[in-house]
Amino acid sequence: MILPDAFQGYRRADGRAGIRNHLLILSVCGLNGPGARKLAAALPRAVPVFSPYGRGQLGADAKFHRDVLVALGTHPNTGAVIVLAPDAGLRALYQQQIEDTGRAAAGFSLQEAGEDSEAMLAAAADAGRDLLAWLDEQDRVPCPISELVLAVECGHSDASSGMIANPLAGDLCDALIAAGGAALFSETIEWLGTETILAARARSPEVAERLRDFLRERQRTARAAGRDLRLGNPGPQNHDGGITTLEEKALGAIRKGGTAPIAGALAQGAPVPGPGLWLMDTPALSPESITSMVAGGAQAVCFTTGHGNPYGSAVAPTLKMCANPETVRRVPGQIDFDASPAFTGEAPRRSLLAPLAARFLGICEGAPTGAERAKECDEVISRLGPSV
Amino acid sequence: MRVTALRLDPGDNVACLLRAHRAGERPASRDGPLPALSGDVPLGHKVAIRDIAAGAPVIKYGVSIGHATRDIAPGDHVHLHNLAGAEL
Repeated sequence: MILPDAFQGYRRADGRAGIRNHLLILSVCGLNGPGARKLAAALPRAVPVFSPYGRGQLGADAKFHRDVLVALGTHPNTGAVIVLAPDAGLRALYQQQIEDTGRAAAGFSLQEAGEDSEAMLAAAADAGRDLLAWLDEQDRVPCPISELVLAVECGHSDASSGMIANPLAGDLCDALIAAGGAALFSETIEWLGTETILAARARSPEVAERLRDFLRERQRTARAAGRDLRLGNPGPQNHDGGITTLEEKALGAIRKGGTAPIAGALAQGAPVPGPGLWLMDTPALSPESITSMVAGGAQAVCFTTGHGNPYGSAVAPTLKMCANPETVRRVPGQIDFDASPAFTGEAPRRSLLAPLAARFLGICEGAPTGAERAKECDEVISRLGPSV
Repeated sequence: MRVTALRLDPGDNVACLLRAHRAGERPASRDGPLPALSGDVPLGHKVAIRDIAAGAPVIKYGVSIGHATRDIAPGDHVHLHNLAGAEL
């Protein structure tokens, strides 16, 4: 077995297993943003999740915004939450749903503080210090590796990504799925050109049809705005790097999910229902894509890059992997796993799976990622429609 | 031996170069030296490791990434001049 049967994690009251014991500052509306940033400065160990929106949203957009905030507040990696809201109603809405999962939550609203932001933030900081002390008393316990959900993402890719880093990330997904866990990848428009291949890997005709639907809908949205996603794709930069066709480009991207059958195609942010390999319908921007998969329950992210990329999820530790030796030399603090020996020809890719799995396990058990050390972590909630 | 070319799947009829090669060089793969290159080929680009007839699929990652638009000989650079994706 490449991965052991168990890892040291945090067992939540709702039964889920986390790899971090975060105190989240959950700022649910743009009105709270400036105060939330001051609170985060006062509580440097807290994890900031700030929405710049939160009012005037409609229908699916309003529901998605609320669902993702609740999903992050009740995420397996979240132990306790400070809710910041503009009014008592929103404060109670979020606080209640978080407390219902057995997590500790302290809620504050500008309305209930008489719009005295300084007083509200002082009380929130006191509550935050108490919650951190409470979290510090909790110990990691053995949890089955099969409870892990790994999100995979690629960004700022180059020739080394499709040849080494993505296939190696796929090897890790295969290993986790073989151990009973789950993996998922997203960025719907990157599936363009591999519809037939993905459909053939789908566990059922319904799954195949659903992933085609997701792709058709994204293409329709682009066309309605006057853009054809196939036109000029791959572009001149891809051509310079040796990518000739759209199929080839997409295959290099989807290879990061490994080779398992596709268990299902999930709506953006939907919970991952069980073990196996899942697709999720998301926009291509990494922060939106990653937040959606983390909202779906991924406790960890494996993010491959070619040229480098400092970004990580705030809630789910993000293992950055790179196979371009120049990038690894240029930004060593950013790269959690150096896959370049497979690119320079020193080592076969397969020989890197065991050390990658060990690095992944170490991060799951508390070793900080480069993005965590640099504190370049965030969550970005997609907008699905206009505000009124 | 340090390999300089990668076949990503055993079924592939192309290999990817892990460094730029000059015409006449034989890239080193894990399965041994590949056919001598008919021209200079940059890093990351594909070279044919078998004959690929015009119209036949070019296989990378074990699946078709398009078809040959002319006959391709072992050692040829495979790119926009001799490979096209599916009709879009």
